[in-house]
Amino acid sequence: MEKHIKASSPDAVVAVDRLSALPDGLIHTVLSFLPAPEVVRTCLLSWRWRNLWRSAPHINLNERDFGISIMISRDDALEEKWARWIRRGMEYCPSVLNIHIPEHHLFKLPPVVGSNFRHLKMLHLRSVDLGSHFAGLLCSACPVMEDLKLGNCEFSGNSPQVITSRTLKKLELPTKRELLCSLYNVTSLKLMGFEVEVMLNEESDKFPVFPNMRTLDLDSCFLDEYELYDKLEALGSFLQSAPCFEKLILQYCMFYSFSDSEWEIERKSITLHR
Amino acid sequence: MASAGSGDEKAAAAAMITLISSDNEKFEVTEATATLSQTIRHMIEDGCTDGGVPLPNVTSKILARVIEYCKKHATAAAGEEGSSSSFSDAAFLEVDRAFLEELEEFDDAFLEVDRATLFDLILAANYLDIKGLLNLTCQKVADSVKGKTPEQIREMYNIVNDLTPEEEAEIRRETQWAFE
Repeated sequence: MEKHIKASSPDAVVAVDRLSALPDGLIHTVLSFLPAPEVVRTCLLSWRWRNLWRSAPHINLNERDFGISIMISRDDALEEKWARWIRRGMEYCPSVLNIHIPEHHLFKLPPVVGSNFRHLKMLHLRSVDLGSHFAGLLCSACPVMEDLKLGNCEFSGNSPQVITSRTLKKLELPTKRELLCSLYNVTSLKLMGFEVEVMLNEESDKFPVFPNMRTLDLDSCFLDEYELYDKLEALGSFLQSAPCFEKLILQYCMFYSFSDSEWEIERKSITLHR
Repeated sequence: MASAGSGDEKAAAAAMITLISSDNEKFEVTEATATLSQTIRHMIEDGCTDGGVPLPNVTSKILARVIEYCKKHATAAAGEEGSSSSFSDAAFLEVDRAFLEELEEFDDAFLEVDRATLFDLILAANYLDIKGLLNLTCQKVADSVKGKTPEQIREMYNIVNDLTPEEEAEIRRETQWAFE
């Protein structure tokens, strides 16, 4: 390869190290296309490279980087390793945190120091056990949180959990109704696996109000054993509490696709008051 | 009112931008081509392109390559905007797919350059703020070191190892997991 360079650009000094001469930002762009262990291994190239990987703004980690290809059984040592990585990552006060654990695991979120979330704008978690203080943490320690997505997550502990946020714009959760209270600034709400029962068995004066909500996206909701009338009632109460409402998306809602129920019901009208 | 022909010519002439390389060569390009560069886009928006845009960091050899890239990709961008109205969805997807393949082939051929040119292109793409070209060229460098040992990478890019054996041992200890 060196010979090739010599031949094609005779003016260039052959021994020039163009790669190390790039500004840090450009080296980081190059590193962003490499898997994490290879990014880290560049620290051995020379003194210039020694700490470059540490300041990389973006590192791609996946399970293979932990020395395992397929994980079927629960492995405590492995979880320990994950937890350490995630804790370290959080110490840098990220603005985006995305933890996606394979479905059959439930990963216990390492203890979070409140200030770690002070810059957090986007939090996406999948199959994470959030413990008993998570909601409280969201309320008190996330002054700029805008986008929260919780999939297959659990809240352990018995204390009631309420999320309060002035900044949240986008929320996606498969969950309990009480969590919806106080989200008075949410503009886009996506709910997964939400059940009619949750809506109907609560006192109506506790029903959340969403003064800024424009989009409601319901995925696999209202699939429990209720009459369609009740399901629409539940949907209606949602819409009634959102004065700026513009867009409703229903996916896999109301009936299972294999159900033989038909849409033969008395017309139910939902009146929206502006 | 001018005839349709001369009106078109005027519009076309108005949308041309002159780029001037470090060795003073002039390149006439359409605004659509030039604005793939965010740097030039901002200059056009600020109305600072009369009399040409001097690019003191880019040689004519590299600028010609950069323009070649921008022309191709500007056509792609224009195609995406224009064709959605004139094709049915299926036909549009078909055309789209064929065009994307062609674009990929273009990119592959475009990267067939020696290493010095590749680094010049990276620096030019960075200076001109052309994200697509920057990612393309940086990815090429990343691919070339993928799976290589530090020794192989050093040899490939003339990187001088100025770490003492003690320092090297210490770094290996710190980052042991990455070498497992």
